[in-house]
Amino acid sequence: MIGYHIDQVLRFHLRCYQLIGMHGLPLSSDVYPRQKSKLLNLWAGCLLTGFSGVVYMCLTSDDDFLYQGDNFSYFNDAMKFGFAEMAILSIYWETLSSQRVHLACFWQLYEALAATFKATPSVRTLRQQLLQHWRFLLIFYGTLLLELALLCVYVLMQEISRHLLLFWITFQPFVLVVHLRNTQFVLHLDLLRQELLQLECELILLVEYSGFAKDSASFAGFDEYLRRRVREKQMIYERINEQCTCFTRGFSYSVLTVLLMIYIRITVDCYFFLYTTFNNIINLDYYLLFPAILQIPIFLYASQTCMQIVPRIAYQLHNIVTGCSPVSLQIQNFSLQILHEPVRIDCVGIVILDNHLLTQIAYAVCTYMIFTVQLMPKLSGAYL
Amino acid sequence: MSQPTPMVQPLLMQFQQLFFLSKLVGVLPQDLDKFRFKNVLEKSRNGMVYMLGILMFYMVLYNLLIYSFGEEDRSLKATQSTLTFVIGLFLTYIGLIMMVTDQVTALFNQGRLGDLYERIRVVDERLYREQCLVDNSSIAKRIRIMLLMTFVFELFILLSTYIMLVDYTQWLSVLWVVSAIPTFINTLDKIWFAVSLYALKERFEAINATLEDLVAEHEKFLTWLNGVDPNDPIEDRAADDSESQPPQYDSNLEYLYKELGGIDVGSLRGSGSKGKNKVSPIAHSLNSFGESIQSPRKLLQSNTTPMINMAHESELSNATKVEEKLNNLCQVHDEICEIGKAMNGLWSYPILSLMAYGFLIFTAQLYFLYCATRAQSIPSLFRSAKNPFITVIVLVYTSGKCIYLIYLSWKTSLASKRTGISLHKCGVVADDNLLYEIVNHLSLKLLNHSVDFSACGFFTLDMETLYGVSGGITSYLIILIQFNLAAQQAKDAINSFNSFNDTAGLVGAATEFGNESSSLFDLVTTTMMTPLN
Repeated sequence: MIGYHIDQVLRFHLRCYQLIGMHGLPLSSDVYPRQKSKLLNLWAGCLLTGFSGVVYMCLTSDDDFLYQGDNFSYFNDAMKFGFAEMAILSIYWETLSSQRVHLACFWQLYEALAATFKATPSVRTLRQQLLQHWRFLLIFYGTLLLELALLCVYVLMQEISRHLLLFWITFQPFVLVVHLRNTQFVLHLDLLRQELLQLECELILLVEYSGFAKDSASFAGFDEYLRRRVREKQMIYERINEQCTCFTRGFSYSVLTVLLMIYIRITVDCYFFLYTTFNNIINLDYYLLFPAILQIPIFLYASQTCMQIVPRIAYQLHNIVTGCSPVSLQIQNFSLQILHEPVRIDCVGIVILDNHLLTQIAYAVCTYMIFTVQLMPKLSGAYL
Repeated sequence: MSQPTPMVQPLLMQFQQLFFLSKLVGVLPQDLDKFRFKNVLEKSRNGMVYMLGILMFYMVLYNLLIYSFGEEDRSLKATQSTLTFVIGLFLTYIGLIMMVTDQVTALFNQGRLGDLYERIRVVDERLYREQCLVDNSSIAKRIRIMLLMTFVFELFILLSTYIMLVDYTQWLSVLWVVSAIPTFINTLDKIWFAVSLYALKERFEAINATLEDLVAEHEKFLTWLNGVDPNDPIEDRAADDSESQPPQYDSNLEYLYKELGGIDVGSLRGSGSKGKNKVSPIAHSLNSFGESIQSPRKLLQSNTTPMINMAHESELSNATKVEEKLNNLCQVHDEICEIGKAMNGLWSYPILSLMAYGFLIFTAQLYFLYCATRAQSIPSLFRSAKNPFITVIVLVYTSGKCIYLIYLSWKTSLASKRTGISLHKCGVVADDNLLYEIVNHLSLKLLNHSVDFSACGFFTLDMETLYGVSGGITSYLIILIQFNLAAQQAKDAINSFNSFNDTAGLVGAATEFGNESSSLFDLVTTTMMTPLN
């Protein structure tokens, strides 16, 4: 790519993701991209084997990693580790495997689009960059700090038994990695949202301008000018859509497993929260669930806002005032293109990631809660 | 279209091994010789009789299997929980039902299946005429891998269950081999569907690739145009098509915005444009986008230049020529969609039965695994659930079949939808009014011709179904386990009561002389009985 680079704030965070093995691509400013890419692959491989080793150790060891008291709790702890391993496997697999091609395509398109949107890249100060990415930054640092703060509070307050110590020491790294992955999704979605918004703004300008030209003044080449502008927007939309496809392809499996892991953890921990309160066991570790509960809505909201801009773009497009047949033909073409290429963010096609999924998850958690709460006295042995 | 029909390899040539195997075990009734020499599937009466005979034979064997292994169940009935017993009874025949559905459907469809492949051959020829080649060679490899995996899974499940869980000292235990027949027949039948679907997907992808090639070619052509004449001021084209140079229109828009705000700075920028609009400041500024009026000429130029140099020619620059090509491709696309729908129609009942089988067996196998870990007896036909490892293999095999079909249908559907995107790329990159009209027309056509696969209309075969099914399986499993727990607790309560009853009876016998003790016993009995009632 010539001329334009990703801005500093983004570059810093991409470096962070490189550090935890989630962004397996060298940045455009790197001197030896090939060596860097190999190094990153190696690092991701090391992390993957490390995490898998921990899971293997926890599942096979006789020590108190998983709660040994009764079978049901043991099964649930094992399930948490099982899904965590699935998430880790898919995350690092995507870093290592062919999925990185899609990610590379995403960033390439991003750079190309950024170059078309911003004619003068050098003038943007750090402050402007921070303002541009404030949503992502808030989410990234907010959840991370909340997580760490809660962990500190937990370590200070809770009387830690051997099981709790072993379990949290082994499980917390998985939680952190999965939550960071979630923020990585949010980062990509936020960039998509910015691009879509920019496109919408430019279309609004065109609408205003076409109205102005219609009412007040027009000239010979105006229709042709308008048509070409619409065509440019059309090409930009095409690229954004391609970028979105790259996102869904590049992250397909890890979106699924990350959501599943968080969801399983919430369901299981909610049950045990009720169980311990029911049996008057003092355990504070359920406060650690709070960041996990935040993660799902954050991600789903980010993807929903992306998807919601597209109908508005179509609306603005049809607001363009014109009496000229080539322009209206172009607008028709764009409109049909939007119909063919809706921005649809889903995980492997299984479910569209919008707030509707959130209600479904809430329903499911409630239903399972009722089932398992019903099981509770039977499992605790009160009737036997 | 006057040229002689080009030779394309028929798709069925890749199906040789699969067809012989299917013919042998009675999945398809079509004529063997015709297939071998002419690669066509034709009706055959002998094949039909053979297949019916095999079907009867399988049914007899399977019933024999159920009868001989059912002995154990009848003796175990007392110890089994009612729920386990009923589920076992309900699922006894599901494998057989699935197999019979497959075979009977194959018998009914024997004429139409041949037509389907004939239509695919015609499509291949039409694609060939558009220089759009479809490579069938990977299909034979695919079939071989699928057959190999089927054998590995079936043999592993059969042998490991037979060795570990069947009492093979009795000669009747050899009948256990029959238990693998329904799933094997079903898998063979589904391989036909999966591979044909894959072939359709390849055809969609070939169309998309042809369209993308047109786009890439045209982009190359445009950059070449720019390279030849760098003085020609077509910077907007360069910016659009080569992605490398940042265009100027953002500053134009800023400028526009200022213009709308009433600030006239247009004369600063518009110095290079034509002077004929200098009448009013607004009109003048409208004209000053840094380009604009020359563009029709540029368009004309880009259309004429390829005639001079043949090194870089783009079909997209000639709208009338490309119109025919696009039209043909879209017609082929429609035809493939129709073939997809027809294929879905042929296999709709088998797929429905497979999905039902997959859902029920998956749930039942997990439930029986739970029962087995609680040391409860389970129906003898599902004895593979006694071993967790075999259970995992069974589940992977069953769910693999279902999920693969769903995944493939989804992918095919996506590939068919992708054509519209590629078509629009063609339109935008060529930027020609005539072509826009064609593209708009075809785009509407494509929107109305999408292919979605479904199982008899009960549910669509796409990944969203998986979401629902997995939720269903989890809920049912929890409910079943809960009922099982409740039944077990009731049973335990009765047992403990009975033992208590016995001891109480003994105590009562020992202290027979006192009336008050027997009244105490009555009291105990009634209090113990009340919660049970």
